[in-house]
Amino acid sequence: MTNFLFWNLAGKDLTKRIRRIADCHQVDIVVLAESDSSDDDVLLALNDKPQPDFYVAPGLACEKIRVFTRFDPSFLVLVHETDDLSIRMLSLPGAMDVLVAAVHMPSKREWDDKSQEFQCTALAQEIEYAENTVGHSRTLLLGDLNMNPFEPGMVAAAGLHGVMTRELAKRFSRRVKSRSYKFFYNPMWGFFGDKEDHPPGTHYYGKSVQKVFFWNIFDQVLVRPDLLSRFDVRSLAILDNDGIDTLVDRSGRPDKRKASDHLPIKFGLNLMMKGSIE
Amino acid sequence: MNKKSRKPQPGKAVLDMIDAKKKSRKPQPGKALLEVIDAEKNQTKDLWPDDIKTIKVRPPVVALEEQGKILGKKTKNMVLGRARQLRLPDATQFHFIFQIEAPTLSYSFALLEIRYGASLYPVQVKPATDIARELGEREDSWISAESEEAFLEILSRIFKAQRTRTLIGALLAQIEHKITA
Repeated sequence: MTNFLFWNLAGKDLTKRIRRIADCHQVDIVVLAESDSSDDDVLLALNDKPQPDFYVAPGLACEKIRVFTRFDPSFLVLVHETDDLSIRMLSLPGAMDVLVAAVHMPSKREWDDKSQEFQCTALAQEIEYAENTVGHSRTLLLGDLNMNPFEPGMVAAAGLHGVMTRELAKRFSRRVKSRSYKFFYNPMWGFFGDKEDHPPGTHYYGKSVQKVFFWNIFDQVLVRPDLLSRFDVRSLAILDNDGIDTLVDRSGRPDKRKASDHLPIKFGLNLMMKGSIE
Repeated sequence: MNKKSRKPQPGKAVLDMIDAKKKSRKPQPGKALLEVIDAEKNQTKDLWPDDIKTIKVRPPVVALEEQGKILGKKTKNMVLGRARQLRLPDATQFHFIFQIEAPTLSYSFALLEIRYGASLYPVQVKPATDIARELGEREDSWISAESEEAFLEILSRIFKAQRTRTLIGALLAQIEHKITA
């Protein structure tokens, strides 16, 4: 199993907590947004153990995403970047290649709903461009989308086209006005509310206005149908602790003072080919 | 010919009926009348100007693509600049991403975006965030150019930014390393 962690650090120095989560969940690939710590500091924290095993997987043009990996960085090849998007091909020996697209979309403070919708359309086209470059659609999109899974840009066919069940995503694509649009499966839909024992979102925002959701799921992972069979949906979790200390306050909301205003997410993919030894 | 395949012929009574029908048919317009109808048809006025032709303004994307080719020449086609159209729901504008590509590395990054309406100018340019910062522009803001000259001036500033040079230099170094490895 290849384990991923995504966390928007909100500019906080949380290097020790990243290391705890990485150890606790045996994370192989750490993706960070809003990281004001230097790559050196993060790396030193991740490798603060007898057998250091993490590397930086540097980007070139994308400043908003930082990637660290237990694998040799040459297994994580840059394919396409923009300001806030870094798309890499993960090619592990004995495993199937996958595209890993990590993004930090503009926040609701700076961009209105319509601009975010348009940006989703642009993002979908960037991902398709990268898929055409590598010749497959085994793609994983993770990051801080700064939108909830139900918002128009996230669900529209010309946007990210994220659907809430695997059964829907297995149709692979859908035609609208004679154009075909590929699906993403967005498992984050399942995290809303308090029916299960997990945080009801990754981000909390309350304001005295008419429309407010309080809990938002901005931090997400979306999976293309071609990768569905490899995605372990049970491994997906919104984390409310780092293995030792809590990341939430007494009300269960992200503890902005001691950690970030976003909670991290983690999940696993089984990429090994038949007959190979993990 | 096979007898069985022969089509049945109409009987005398049926032929008489056809003859009667032909005789009762209304008279058809003669040649002169047809010419009058044609003339009426031809009177549909052509409202279009006689001098429809391409305007003498280069679309901004053409200027951009030319610069992409120049970059290719300068780097022996190791690094290219290419414009790729984005199809956004806002169909009132043309929207392109200009990306720097290193085909041998299968890598590309978006250097800037442009968008413009049907009149081609003004064109709006949005450099990558770090380049915008270096040029003293607001991040995520669009810089407007009223003419091709102003557009080329903005492109020149973006291409000459230290960040752009570093990125292209890093790609060339990587390609060199790949060739010598």
